Amino acid sequence: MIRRPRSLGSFPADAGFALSVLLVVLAVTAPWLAPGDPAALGEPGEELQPPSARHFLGTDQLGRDLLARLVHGSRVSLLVGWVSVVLSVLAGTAVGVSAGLGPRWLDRGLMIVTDAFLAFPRIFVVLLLVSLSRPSLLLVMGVLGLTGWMGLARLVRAETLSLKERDFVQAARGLGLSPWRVAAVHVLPHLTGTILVAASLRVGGAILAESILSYLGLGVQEPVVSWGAMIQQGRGVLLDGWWLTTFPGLALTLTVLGYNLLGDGLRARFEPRGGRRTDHG
Amino acid sequence: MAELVRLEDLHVALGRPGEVACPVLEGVNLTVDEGEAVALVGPSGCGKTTTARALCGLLPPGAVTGRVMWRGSPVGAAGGPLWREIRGPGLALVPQDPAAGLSPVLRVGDQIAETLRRHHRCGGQEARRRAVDLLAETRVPDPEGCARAWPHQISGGMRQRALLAAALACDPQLLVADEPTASLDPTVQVAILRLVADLRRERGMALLFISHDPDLVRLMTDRSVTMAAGRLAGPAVTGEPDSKPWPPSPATGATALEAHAVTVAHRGTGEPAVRQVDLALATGEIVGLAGESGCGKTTLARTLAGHLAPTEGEVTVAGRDLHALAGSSFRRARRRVQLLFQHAGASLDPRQPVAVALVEAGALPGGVDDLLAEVGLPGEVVPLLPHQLSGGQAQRVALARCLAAAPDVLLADEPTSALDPQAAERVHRLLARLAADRGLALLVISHDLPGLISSSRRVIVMLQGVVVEIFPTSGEGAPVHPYTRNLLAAAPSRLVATAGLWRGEAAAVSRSTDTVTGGCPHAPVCVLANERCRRELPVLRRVGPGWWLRCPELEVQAQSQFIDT
Ligand code: SF4
Repeated sequence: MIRRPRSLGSFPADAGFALSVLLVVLAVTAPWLAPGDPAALGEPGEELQPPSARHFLGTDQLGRDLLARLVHGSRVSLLVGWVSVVLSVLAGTAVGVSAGLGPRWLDRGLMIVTDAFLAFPRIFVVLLLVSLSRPSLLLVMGVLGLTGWMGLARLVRAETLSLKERDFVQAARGLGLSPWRVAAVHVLPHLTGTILVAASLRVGGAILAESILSYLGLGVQEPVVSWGAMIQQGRGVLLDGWWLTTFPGLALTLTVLGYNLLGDGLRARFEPRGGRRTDHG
Repeated sequence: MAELVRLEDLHVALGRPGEVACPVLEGVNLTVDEGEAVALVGPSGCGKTTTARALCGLLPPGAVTGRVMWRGSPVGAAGGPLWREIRGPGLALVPQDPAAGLSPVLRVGDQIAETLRRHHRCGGQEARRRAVDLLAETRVPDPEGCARAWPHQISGGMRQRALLAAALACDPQLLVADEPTASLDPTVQVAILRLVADLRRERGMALLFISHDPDLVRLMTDRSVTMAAGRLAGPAVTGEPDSKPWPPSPATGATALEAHAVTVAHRGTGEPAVRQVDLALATGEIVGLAGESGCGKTTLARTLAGHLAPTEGEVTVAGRDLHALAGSSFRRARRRVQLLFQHAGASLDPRQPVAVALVEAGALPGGVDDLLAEVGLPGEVVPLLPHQLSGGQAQRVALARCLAAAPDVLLADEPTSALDPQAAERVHRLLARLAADRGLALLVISHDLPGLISSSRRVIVMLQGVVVEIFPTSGEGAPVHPYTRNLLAAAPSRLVATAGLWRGEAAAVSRSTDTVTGGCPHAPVCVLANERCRRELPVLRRVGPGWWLRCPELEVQAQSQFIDT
C-alpha cells in the first residue's frame, strides 16, 4: 500500500481525507457504536418520534432508532461503494493496460467495447440489469462494478500509451523482457497515482448510485439497512417526519463530498502540474 | 551597478529521507549584478547545476542552508511566497535537458502560456498569442505550428528554443542558463547562444551562464567563476589515467548486425526519417555515425535495436531478419542488440534501484558488483534509485544494464553529448575498452565528427536520413563530401573562433533541417550543386578501399586520393 500522507497539502483535501477515514471507522465499529439494534422495534407509542434525548435522531414509523439505522446503513453504503469501485478499477485497469500495451487490433477491439458500454447511460443499464433478477447486495455491487470501469479504462489506456513511449519502458522492452513483465514491473506501478485518484473520485458516485437503486426499491432489501432505503422509507412522511429523510440525505451528501475532496486532493498531489482533469464518470 | 542576487555561504546536501544526506555544495558565495553576465564553469558533477537550482529555489527546503538574497533582502526557504514572485518576473531558468524541461502531455504553446497565466500577466487567449510571439522571438521557424505541436514532435533545438521562450515569458531580470546547448549539435548550438546573447543585449538582462566550454564562456560572459567538487575553486580536475591504448587496434570478427536498404517512415508525418541505409557491424569493431540533430541517427539506432520497425528493408541480427521474428524469438534476438539511450537517466525505471535493474537485465545477483566495476562505478550505488545518481553515473548504470544482457552489438546514442571534454574522453575510452574486451560491435552515434574520427575505425555520415559518405579513419585520404567537410569545419570551438559564423545569418542554421523532396539532401546549400543533384538522389558509390560516397561531382576527386598512392 502507499504510505499514508501526513497531509495532502490543502484544507479541503485534508477535510476530505478526515471525512473518509471517519466514515470507515464508523462503518467498522457500527455494532458497538450504534445505540442498539437497527431492526429492534421500539416500544408501542414510540413510532415516528422527532429527535429527542432518548433517540438523538428520532424514530421511524415502526419505532426503530434512526441513529442506529444510520450508523448501520453506513456499512452497506461503504461496502457497496468500495467493492464496486475495486471491481471497476480491476476491470478498467486490465482493459486499459491491455489496450495500451497490446497489439493494435486488441486496442481497437477493447476501445469499441468500452465506447459501446459508455454509449448507454449508466443508470439505465444498472436499472435494467438489477430489475432482471431478485435484488441483493451482491448483485448491486456486481452491476455497479460492471458499469463503472469505462472511464477508468480510457484514462489508464491514455496513461499507458504515454508511458509506453518513455525511454525506460522502451529500454525494458529492448532487454527482451516479456510483455507481462514489462506491464507488471514497468508500467503498472507508475499508474498507481492515476488509479488511486480515479478510484477515490468514484467511490462517492458508487455510493450515490446504490442509494438511487435502494430508493427505487431495487437495492438492498429489509432487514438490511442502507441510506438510500432509509430515504425511500421516509418519503411517505416527508412533512410529518422530516428527520427520516434529512439525516440519511445529509450523511450521503457528506460522504460523497468527502470522497470527492479526497480525490481532488490526491490528484493535486499526484499530478502537481495540474491542468489535466480526470473524468468523474 | 546594483546587486541583483547573492548566494551567501550556501550548503546543499541531498539524499533520501531517513538517510544521511550527501553534501553537494559546501559554502558557495556568488553575486550577480544587474545586467551582468557571469559564467559558472567546472567539470560535470562539480555542483554547477545544483548551484543554479538552489539559486532558483528549486531544491527541497531541508536540503539548503545558507542564504539567497534577492536585491539585498533574503528570500527565505524554497517554496515560500517570495519565491513565487521572484521566479518568472525576477529570474528564470533554462534547464540543461530540453527533453526533461517540457511536460510531454501539454502542447508547447500551452506550456509557455501557462507561465504567463500563472503570473497573471494575461488571460487565456492573450497568453496563447504571446506564446506564439515569444516563439517567434526565439527564432523558431514556424511559431504557430510549434505552439500547436507536442514536445515529442519537435527537435531538440526547437525544444531548447521553446524553453527559452518560456523562460523569457515574464521578462526576467536574470536568466540562469544551465548548459543550455550541451546536448545540441554545433550549428544549432551557435544559433541558440547567439540568440541568448542578442536577447540579453536587447532586454538588459543579467545572465548566469553555466558551461564547461571555455570558448563559449569567453564569448558569452563578462567574468567567470570556477567550481570544483562543490566549492568555488581553482582549476578543474583532469581526467583519470587509463593505461590501455586508445583507440584499440581493431580485431575484425564476424558480422554481428546488418542493415539492408532500411527505410523508416516518421510515425507522425509519414515522411521517411531514414532512407535506404545499408550498413554492417562486425564484432570488435567501432563504427561512428555522425550527423546533426534531426538527421535520423536516433531513428536508425532505434530501428536497429528493434524499437521501431522499418517500413522497407531488413535488419539482420546473427543471420536472421530481426523484424520478421515474433514473440519470444524476437525478444531473444533483440536482446543481442542493446541501445544505450541518449538520455540514459530517462531509460532507467525511476522506481528500480540499480541492483534490481541489473538483475532484471540478466546479471547474476552475485555479479552486480563486478558489472558495476567494469563500467567504473563503486559498489555503493547498488541500492540507489535513478534520481539519486548523477548524470554520468546514470549513464554508466544504463551501460552496465546493456552489458548484463550480454549483447553482440552495442549502439551508443550520443553518449558524450552532455559531458565536458574530459568526461567525454573517459566515456569514449570506456566504450572502446568494453568493445575490445567483450568483442562487441560498437556503433557510436554523435554529432561530434572530429571525436568520432579519433575514436572509431569507420565513420558513417548521415544527412536527412541519407548516408552521404562512409570512410575509414585509419587509412590515407580525407573525407570528401561537402557536407562532411562542413561538419568538420563546424566543430564548436572552431565555429566560435570563426567570428564570421558567429555574426552570420541565423537563418542559415535552420536551413539544413528543411525537408528535401528527392535530390541530394545537401543540394540547397551546396556550392557544387547542379540540376541533376537537385532532381534525383545520387547513388552511394564505392570510391576506394572501405570508402563510399554519394556525390557524383566529387567521385573522381575522391578516387584520385587512392590512385596517387
Ligand atoms: S551530389 Fe550535388 S548537391 Fe549533393 S553534395 Fe554532391 S554536388 Fe552537392
